[in-house]
Amino acid sequence: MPLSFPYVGTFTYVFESIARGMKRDDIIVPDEPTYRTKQLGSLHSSEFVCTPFKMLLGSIIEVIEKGAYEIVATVFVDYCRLGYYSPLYKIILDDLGYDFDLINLDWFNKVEFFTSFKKLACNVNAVQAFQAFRVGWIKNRYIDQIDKTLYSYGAVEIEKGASYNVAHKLYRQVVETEGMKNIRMLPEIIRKTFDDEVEIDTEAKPLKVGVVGELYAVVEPAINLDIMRRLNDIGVITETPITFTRWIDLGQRMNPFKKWHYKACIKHAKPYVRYPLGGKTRESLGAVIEYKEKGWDGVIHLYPFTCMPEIISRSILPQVSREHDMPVLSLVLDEHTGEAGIQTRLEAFVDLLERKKNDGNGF
Amino acid sequence: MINSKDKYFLGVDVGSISTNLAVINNSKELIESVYIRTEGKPVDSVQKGIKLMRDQLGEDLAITGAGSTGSARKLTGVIIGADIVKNEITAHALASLHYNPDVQTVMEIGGQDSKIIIIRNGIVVDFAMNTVCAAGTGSFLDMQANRLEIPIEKFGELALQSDNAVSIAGRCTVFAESDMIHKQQLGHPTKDIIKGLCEALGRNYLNNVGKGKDIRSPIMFQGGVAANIGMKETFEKYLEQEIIVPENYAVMGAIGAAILAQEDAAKNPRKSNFQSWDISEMDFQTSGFECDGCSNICEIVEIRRNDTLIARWGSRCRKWDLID
Repeated sequence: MPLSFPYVGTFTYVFESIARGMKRDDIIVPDEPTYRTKQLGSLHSSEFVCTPFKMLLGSIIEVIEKGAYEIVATVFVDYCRLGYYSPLYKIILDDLGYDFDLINLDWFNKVEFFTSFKKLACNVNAVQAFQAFRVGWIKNRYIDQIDKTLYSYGAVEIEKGASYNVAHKLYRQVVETEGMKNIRMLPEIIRKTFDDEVEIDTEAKPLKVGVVGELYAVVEPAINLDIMRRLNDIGVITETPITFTRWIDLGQRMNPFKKWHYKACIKHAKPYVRYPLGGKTRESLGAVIEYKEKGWDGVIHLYPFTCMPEIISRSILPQVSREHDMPVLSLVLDEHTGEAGIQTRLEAFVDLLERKKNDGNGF
Repeated sequence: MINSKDKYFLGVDVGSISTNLAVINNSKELIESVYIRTEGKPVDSVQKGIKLMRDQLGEDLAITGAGSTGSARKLTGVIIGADIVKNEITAHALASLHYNPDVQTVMEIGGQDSKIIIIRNGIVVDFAMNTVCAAGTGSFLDMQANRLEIPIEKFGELALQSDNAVSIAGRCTVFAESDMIHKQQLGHPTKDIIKGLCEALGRNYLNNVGKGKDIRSPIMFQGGVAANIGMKETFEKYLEQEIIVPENYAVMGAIGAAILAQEDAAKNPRKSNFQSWDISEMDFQTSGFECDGCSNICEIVEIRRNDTLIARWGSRCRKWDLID
């Protein structure tokens, strides 16, 4: 039965790799979300639900239209409405009369998790399935590496768009590489390809801005209006600590010496919020302090309209920002495509950081 | 005032409601300014503004640098040939700092958006803009003035005459309007309703845009809405501090753009890209089409000057992008 999944930023490549590793040759790769995806999603969702819900629903409908039957919906639960995504998708899609099978990978419900996983891995035995998953989490590291390199090279590249093109070539290469020996060579290939094919301005002293906030808002360019690229275009190096590594990378999770960025952030946030409030509340708050200590210039906080956990961070952030002298820009994202508003805020924020860095002397 | 040895700089600020132009000299003194309505046609209004400015100056002043700002800054930049295109927050902050170097807070309410800029020791340290809706901005006041058939210029005066503001919901303009209609049907005098509206908008601004901000004096209030003395009084009442409305409150964005052009030219002297004062005589055509390359269906805009394509933008994948 054709297998598919909704599009979630560059994680899509990881998912594709895992499905391929499980010898599923009937994968339908989702397309990048477009204007139509947003419209489809919001047409069939309740008006006040989070924007990621709408976008993912739109993406699911699009893959069903392309012929998918088995659909992997949510993989993570985050103590907010995210836990209700899958059951709601099922009700909505049933009502719309689609023929599909929603596969819910819920780690907290171990029995369901393994039955679902078995359905996915119908073509392979348990060892092969685990191996495919392992290849997936290792490839995820390299996808993250490409993202990270892209968002720093993009700020200082001489020919605009060069690193973007290189990155897209490399994403495909990561998905298509097979055999552990070849996969282990990827980090070196990625580093070398960027070095060889992107000419950078070595004189530039770019600003550095971290992007934190709600998971989907940070990783999906279609909802954040390609904020990373916009920042790169105005000469700012950026990165996001929010990737899928912390969930799927069992290799790193089992390593007791691994220093997790999010754990450091949660510790920093302790004076402000002591217990989990869902989503990335504590992490968003702590990231401001973490980036300050790393010597970065500012932090951008993204959250979808009506996102409950991030609304909490939004109201505490000004205090954290003031107490640690770290500029923070909060941006609320919704279906709007009017880019002028976001562009104005970003440019003004970067001007502010630049003046702050140069002690008020010119731009 | 005009001296042939001095250098002159032009700033153009095209917002949703108004188009402002300012010409300053090398010591950042305002020579002339123009304030007209955009009326949804930014290209026409820039041309009209340039013509008015030319008439007011009485001569074709040599322009050493030109800057554009406002929500149509990119388009304006192409039309006038701007040397620097900057966002309106930076422009407003610079203009306010030039007017009063000690300023610590700038409140700006324009047609579609409202902003607060926090300045310490002459540096912008924080700013905020209204989030997802335009409640409490100039457009809404404009609309209500129209509905009540009161010229917008008289709005503030009328509010000052009242000493009994009625309570009006300020969170959302739809709620505010139904509150206003309800109060009016109950028989409350118009001046009390208007005063209530000013207070509601002031509260909305301070709780929404100004939330969590450290508002310290001197406080400057500018943008089109600063013409409304009712709003100024509301802010003075809630903040319990004196509010300064600069003399050129409506054209501060344009002054800021001109200052940016001046600073840029001083730092990096070069020949200005400024077209010429004949912009008003030129023929500008904008046309659009939908790209059918993917389901994003981007709306591409093309700008032509006397039949030559000078700019094109609007595609998400950037395949159509062309600037200069």
